[in-house]
Amino acid sequence: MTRNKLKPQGNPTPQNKAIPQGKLTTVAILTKPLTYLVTLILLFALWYIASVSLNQAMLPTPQETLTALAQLFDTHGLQTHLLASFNRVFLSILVSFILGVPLGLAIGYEPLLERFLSPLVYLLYPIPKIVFMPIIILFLGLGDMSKIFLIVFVLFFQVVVTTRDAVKKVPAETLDSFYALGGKRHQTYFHVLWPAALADVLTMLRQSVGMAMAVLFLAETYATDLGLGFLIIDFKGRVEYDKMYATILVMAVLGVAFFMVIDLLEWRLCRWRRNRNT
Amino acid sequence: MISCQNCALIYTQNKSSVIVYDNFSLQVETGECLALIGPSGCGKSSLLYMLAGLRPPTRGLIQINGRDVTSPRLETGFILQEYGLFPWLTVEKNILLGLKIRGMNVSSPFDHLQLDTLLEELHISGTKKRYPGQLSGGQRQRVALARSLILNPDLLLMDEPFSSLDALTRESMQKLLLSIHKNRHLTTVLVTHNIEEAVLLGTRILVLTSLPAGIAGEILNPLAGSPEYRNSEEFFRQTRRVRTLLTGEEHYGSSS
Ligand SMILES: Nc1ncnc2c1ncn2[C@@H]1O[C@H](COP(=O)(O)OP(=O)(O)OP(=O)(O)O)[C@@H](O)[C@H]1O
Ligand SMILES: [Mg+2]
Repeated sequence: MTRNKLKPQGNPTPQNKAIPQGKLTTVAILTKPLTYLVTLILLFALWYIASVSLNQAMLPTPQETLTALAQLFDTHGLQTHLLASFNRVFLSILVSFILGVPLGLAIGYEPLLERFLSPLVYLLYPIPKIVFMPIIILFLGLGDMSKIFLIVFVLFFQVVVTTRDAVKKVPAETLDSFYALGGKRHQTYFHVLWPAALADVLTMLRQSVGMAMAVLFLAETYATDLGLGFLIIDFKGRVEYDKMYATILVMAVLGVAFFMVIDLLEWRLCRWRRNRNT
Repeated sequence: MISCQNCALIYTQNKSSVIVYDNFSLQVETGECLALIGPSGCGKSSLLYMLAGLRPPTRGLIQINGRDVTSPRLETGFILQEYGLFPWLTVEKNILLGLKIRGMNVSSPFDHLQLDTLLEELHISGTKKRYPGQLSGGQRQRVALARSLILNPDLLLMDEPFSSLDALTRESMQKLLLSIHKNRHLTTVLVTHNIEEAVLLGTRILVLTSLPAGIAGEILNPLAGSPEYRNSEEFFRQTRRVRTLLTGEEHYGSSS
């Protein structure tokens, strides 16, 4: 409260709108491209030094890797594998969101649902879902279904729990003032609970991209012949390390891309979170 | 306008229960500005929640204009102690939300004219596109007030609306409230823990006792209604009377 009084009363200045220093955001990358370019160059330089000093086939230089990458697009149909992996992760994130958010909102808001479903969610949440992979493949086969199901299985409970907790965090006063304005219970979902939870869910999804990619990798190394994960293991088996690294690079970029898109969504949809002083 | 007949309010939590009101009755006339004052935890907020229809009394009956209050009334404006604004909506959207959830088309030029007039009246025109997190405490209170007023209420309930403001902002808000009360003849019930505020704003002052809450005393204050009242002899006499009632007469001797 006391801080507010020191703030200028006029329109927020550009400095106010800037991202807090050191926070990892896509907007920072887009507004400060130079810093990130330098970081990238530094990373490649380190890689180069490491590979030259090690001088083994196990660690090719960045140039060799990038040359292999160009080849992969021409000769190995990397596009197809990339698209397959992209689709799996994209659909998984989408499905977890579409299924998890409404359920989380309802569990957080309806005492009856909370009573019956919270214990279930509580018990299922910490189980490492990845161990069900063989069973899931047994039931859903080797196609996309089993992979998407597995990633959704991992993300879904996190979305539900994050959404529910975000709903629980909404102060009783906020709900009461909504009712006092004439809001009905069913209107609460759209006007209060959804906007209150959205930011938390997007943050959680962004932080889970790494895990989703890891699950994808595991799923794609298991009896399949399509996807970046398959390609990585395949090249390792053929001792084509430069191509293996090239594929790893693509997978890394895919992860970063998902991270950035969710981050941008958060930035666009949750403007109110950007510069608050409370 | 408001009648509260033999109301009881009991909170039950983990087998223990708190009796906040037991056989409490109250009448508020149309156009009155009733100031409620009492020790912390005596049930002032609870009373407003009951009047707002957000917390039904355990026993008894609350009526407004002859109708039973069992759920929030559309004509009642309620400004809560804190957290009343929606942080994810801009000032403009916060204010228009009430109209929107009542199914009104808020994009009509008329509504926007009304909004702009209201913002002007409350001196917050410059904050329209900002979020509550970017406002000062006083601005937030004004937005909360605007959000209620745009719905044209006939009753305004306010819970310690100015308690977190600095002295000067507080004074300007009190002035604002006085002018709103005067211009709109709005029946108001205002909770405060500040004696001067109660005397300045309340045409009637109700002093509550600690739990189970009852009425320690009632002071008619017909001269209230303008900011200049603060400097009058009568104002000081009235504040002394309220203080005496609040602290209990035995400590201060007889009231004068
Ligand atoms: N939800 C609740 N469950 C149990 N007890 C409650 C609840 N809400 C309030 N109480 C109790 O009821 C009593 C009255 O609370 P209330 O908030 O109405 O007091 P108040 O007069 O507004 O206090 P303050 O001046 O501190 O705001 C308090 O003793 C409080 O502890
Ligand atoms: Mg209170």
